[in-house]
Amino acid sequence: MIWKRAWPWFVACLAALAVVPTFGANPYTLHVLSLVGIYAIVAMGLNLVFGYAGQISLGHAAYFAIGAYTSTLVTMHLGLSFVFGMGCAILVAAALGALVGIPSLKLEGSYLAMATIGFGEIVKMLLVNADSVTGGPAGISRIPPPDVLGWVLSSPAQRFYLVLVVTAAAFVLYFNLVRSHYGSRFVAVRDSAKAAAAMGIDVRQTKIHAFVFSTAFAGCAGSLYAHVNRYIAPDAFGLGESINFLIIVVVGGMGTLLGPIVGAAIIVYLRETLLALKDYNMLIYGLMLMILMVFMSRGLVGTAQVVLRRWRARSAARRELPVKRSAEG
Amino acid sequence: MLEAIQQIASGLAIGSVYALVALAFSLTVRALNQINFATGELFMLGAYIGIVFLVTVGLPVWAAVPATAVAVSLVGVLFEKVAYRPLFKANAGHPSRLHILIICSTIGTSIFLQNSAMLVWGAQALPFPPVFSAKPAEMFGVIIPEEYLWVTGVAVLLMVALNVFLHGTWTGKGLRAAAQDREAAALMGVNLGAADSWTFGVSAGVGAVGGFLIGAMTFAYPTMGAAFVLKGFTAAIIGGLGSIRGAIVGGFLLGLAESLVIAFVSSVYKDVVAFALLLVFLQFRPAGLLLKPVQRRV
Repeated sequence: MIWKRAWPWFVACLAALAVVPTFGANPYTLHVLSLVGIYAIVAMGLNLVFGYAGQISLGHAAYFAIGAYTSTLVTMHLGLSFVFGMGCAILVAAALGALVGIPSLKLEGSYLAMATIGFGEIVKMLLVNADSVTGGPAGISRIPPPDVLGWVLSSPAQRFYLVLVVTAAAFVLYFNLVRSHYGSRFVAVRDSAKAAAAMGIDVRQTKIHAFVFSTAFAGCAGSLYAHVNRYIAPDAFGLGESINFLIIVVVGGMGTLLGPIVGAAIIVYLRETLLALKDYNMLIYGLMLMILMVFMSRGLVGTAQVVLRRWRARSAARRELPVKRSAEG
Repeated sequence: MLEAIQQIASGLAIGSVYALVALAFSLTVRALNQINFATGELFMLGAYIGIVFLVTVGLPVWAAVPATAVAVSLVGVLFEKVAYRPLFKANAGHPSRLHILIICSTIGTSIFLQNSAMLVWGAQALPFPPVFSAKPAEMFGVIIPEEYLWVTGVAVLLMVALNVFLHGTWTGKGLRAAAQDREAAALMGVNLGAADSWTFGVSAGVGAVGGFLIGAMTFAYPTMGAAFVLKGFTAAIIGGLGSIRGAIVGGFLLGLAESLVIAFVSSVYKDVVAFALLLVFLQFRPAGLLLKPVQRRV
């Protein structure tokens, strides 16, 4: 699918989401929908790493945190606008992504997973201990609501629109990245590093590019999270959150275009509804994860694609059957 | 000086437990090149099932340790059949995807086991019945709690037994063959499915004994696995991930390094040691101390 064919669908989806607040959705629903958008941005970035470039990161909560804290500190202490804060968040997250990615991405598989976990834990320790800047374990509260060109977005509906616009912009970037020649280098590196190198692709550089893009996405989402949630604390940015990002990408469907968005919607919804089960909440979450991995290892979107393709092939075969017979006869 | 020697003794005791967790990691890594993120929870199960055998069943200690190991091994085998093999079969042709799926599936298992333990035994720490006497023993003029000697002794005994199993029995030889070259081993008549089950089972049993020993020194609590997973993994990396001897060496070295930092610097930095060592080894010598660094392709 190319952008020329996809954009009518894209505009239709945006229009459908844009009317949600006018149909009397309550602030809670709007907040949950905003969270879906924020997680979808992180997941789109991570899908570049997991799904397209075939690498692993279990430390992306750190870049999400860096985005959130950078944006918060820039707006609260320097008194600059939210848009500027988000720009800083993206730049700082991408710069740290490059700083960590360049030495780490020479590692593979389990080693890479552990190195990224190590970085994530170090960032979390810094957030907890540098309390003069980050507020320590208690975090930072009363973060100002986002403002765009001097217009302060104080209601949940306005913030939902902000998240919608940023998510849409991120999706356009992600879509064109994945479907471009540049993006197909990621897939080449995933499928065979040797073959990719033989075709003249710089494997190491390609992995680093995918990683830096994903950290920039995470930084952008972190900035949104800080100003939409208006409260941040180190607890929200630990290994558990990195695992959560991984699960969103895998449940949606690694290496599928829409996987991150579907995954974010499903996982945020599941987490909110399972809360009602209290003590059994996490137990069922773990169990569902095991079952999903075994029965739907391509993720929801990947499985749907397989089913659709089979159904199309079958109906095509049914249509072609008489033609073939007449040709044979 | 005396205090330093006491710290070393405690470092060796803790280090022997790190070595057991590292062994549990290394067994699955060297056979299947996959990390089992539920290793920590099998370790935690070792402590709880140990309490069940000691208190509810009323076994003596010498019988409770092997009983715990066997019981948790069976959990490990079940885990392999339910959460590992179907994934492995469905994604055998896609190594990078299989890797991520196995991480997700083992994390799911670890969340499931941790919360099951919380529901069954409660979120609070559960005290162990007195297993090893904590009364001080005097050795060469240094006073060391007796339990340190017991813990180190049991762990070393298990390592020796594991070595005998891997080198002296047909099953163990089959496991080593399958770890070295799956196709060739299959051609020689090794049943790969059974070998994978054995690998997960032995790994779970070794981890469980580690959990039993830590539980016997402190408590059993649902999140104890998470606390030891990173230490065990660091120990495995230091020695060389996938190497049996490396896991043992790495475990003792990490335990000693921690105890020396406590003795000479401050106990605040104890947990930083493992992180720092993990990152330094991953960046500069990912193959660890005992494995030969591999020439990286591409």
